[in-house]
Amino acid sequence: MSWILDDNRPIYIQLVEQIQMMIITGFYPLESKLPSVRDMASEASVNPNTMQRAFAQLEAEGLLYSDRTKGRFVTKDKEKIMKIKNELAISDTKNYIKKMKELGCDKNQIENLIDAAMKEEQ
Amino acid sequence: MLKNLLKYEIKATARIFVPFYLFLIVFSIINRIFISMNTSAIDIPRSIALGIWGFTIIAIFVMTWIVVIQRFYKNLLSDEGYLSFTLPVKAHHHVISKALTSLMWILLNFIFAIIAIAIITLNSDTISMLKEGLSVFQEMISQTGTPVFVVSIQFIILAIVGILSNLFKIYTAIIIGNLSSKHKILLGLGTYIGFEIVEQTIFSFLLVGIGYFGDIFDPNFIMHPSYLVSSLLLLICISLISASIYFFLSNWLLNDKLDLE
Amino acid sequence: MENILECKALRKAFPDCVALDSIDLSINKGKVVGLLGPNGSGKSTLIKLINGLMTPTGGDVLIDNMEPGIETKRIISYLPERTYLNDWMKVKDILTYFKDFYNDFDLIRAKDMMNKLSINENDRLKTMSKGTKEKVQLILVMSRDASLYLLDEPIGGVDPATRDYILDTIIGNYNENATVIIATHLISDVEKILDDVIFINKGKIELVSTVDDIREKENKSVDALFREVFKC
Repeated sequence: MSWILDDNRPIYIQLVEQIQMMIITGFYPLESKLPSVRDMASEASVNPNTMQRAFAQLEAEGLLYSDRTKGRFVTKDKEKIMKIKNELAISDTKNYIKKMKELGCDKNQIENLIDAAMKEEQ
Repeated sequence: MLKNLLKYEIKATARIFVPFYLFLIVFSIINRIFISMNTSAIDIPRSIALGIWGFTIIAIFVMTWIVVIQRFYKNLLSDEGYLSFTLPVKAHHHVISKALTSLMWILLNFIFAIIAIAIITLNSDTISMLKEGLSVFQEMISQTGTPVFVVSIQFIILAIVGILSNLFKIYTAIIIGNLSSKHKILLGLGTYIGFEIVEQTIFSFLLVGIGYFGDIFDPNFIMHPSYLVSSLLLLICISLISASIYFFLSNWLLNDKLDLE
Repeated sequence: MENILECKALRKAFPDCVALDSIDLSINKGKVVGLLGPNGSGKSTLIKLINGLMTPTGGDVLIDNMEPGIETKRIISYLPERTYLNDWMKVKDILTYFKDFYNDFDLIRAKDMMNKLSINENDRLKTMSKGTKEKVQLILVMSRDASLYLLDEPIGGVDPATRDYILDTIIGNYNENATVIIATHLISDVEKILDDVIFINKGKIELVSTVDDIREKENKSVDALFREVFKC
């Protein structure tokens, strides 16, 4: 698992996004325990305060919960994860369509492009 | 913390002094052996050995003052000062630890010089000469009515206070020299000479002022042993005062004027 | 939140220049702060005023509400931009030296880090390369449990692998209540580990902000903003 942070956006937001991805992809499965803030921070080479802030945001979203004695865990709520996954999928799709439109593709062309790409993938 | 500073100060300087002392002792023994061999066949190596021996003693004394200056400058005012002055230690503890360590080496220099001379020269003749000299000295002192051991202790105290005063004077001169960004050595040296001139001037005026010289042309006055004893006390007082002035001056400079580049 | 550092109208003038002028600053506990400025901007001077290697010409500097002195030296761990190691000690000697003088020095942690970098305890400081000396100093400084770490150009002139090691060491070794001030002009390298940044130029403070605020409001990295502000 590698962390890629770009330069122009707040670091904690990027951390939130990447941890979301780790949860959605099952890198951290349901109810699994996360490493400590310090370990995660050092893995991502960021300041622990920033990682803490990302965790706080994820907790507020309900993706993580913390137990004072045991540590921090991924939520038990599968629905929650599916919901976030959906939101991400929708927003990425919208971004894609927006870009394609900027390139001047219409609905038909976009569908064809997707079909072709899917075939190639298989 | 002063204890720790002393520990490291002694460690840092011992590696310079101890080999010199060992060398001196070894060479003294070699000389003793050479001298005891009563043959002209070894005249040349004998005189060479004696030359090296004498040179070593002088070198130790000269080196001591170089080490005094170099240690103080390097450890406190050069790059190493970045560590020394960020230790949780009071500035005057740095000064005291360096002065006490230097004092220790200077006293040891004398002790080792005496030992070295003793190794070469001590025999029944010189011992009896020594005894004779001592008794003359004792008699001279006894005329003053002051016990001999008191006078001896006064001598030792004067030596110690005098050395300390000189050390603090050197330290103050180094710190003042360091205030200049370009001519550190020149300013340091100038300051030291300046201190000497001021000291001598004040000293002379003081002695004349209190009528110390009395009738200086009367040999009975100047040669009288009581004159010696009172001189000792006066010198101790003066050295104490100058040592304190230099000590507080160096302290104030380190605390309030220190700027490490 | 409590301040670990406060500067009030702090000023430092030398015979030929004013290095710092009317610096007002407060830094909270538990932050990693970048003190950023071009060469000669007054970064080192500010750090030396904080740790007592220089005396202010005017104004106040307070560390944990105390003026610089023996008490503040106890809680400040300082990495200068030059090497201060003497030439007669071995690595193990300098470790005991730190242990003797700093109550908060963690000997085990230091030895552990020395091992990881395969620095032999019996090596003499004199024979080490400049880079190794810098690593030894960083280990000494980061092995203390200080309240305030002052790191002056910790990554100046090191290779990328060492730079990563140094940054990891910094973020891996300070505790949550400690504050780290990193003075540097190599911003892109340290940006990720900073909470707050202070821009300093020609002895004056130009900007104080959090890294995330800069990215959020300006939509650019601190490095990019820095290049803009200090454009020649």
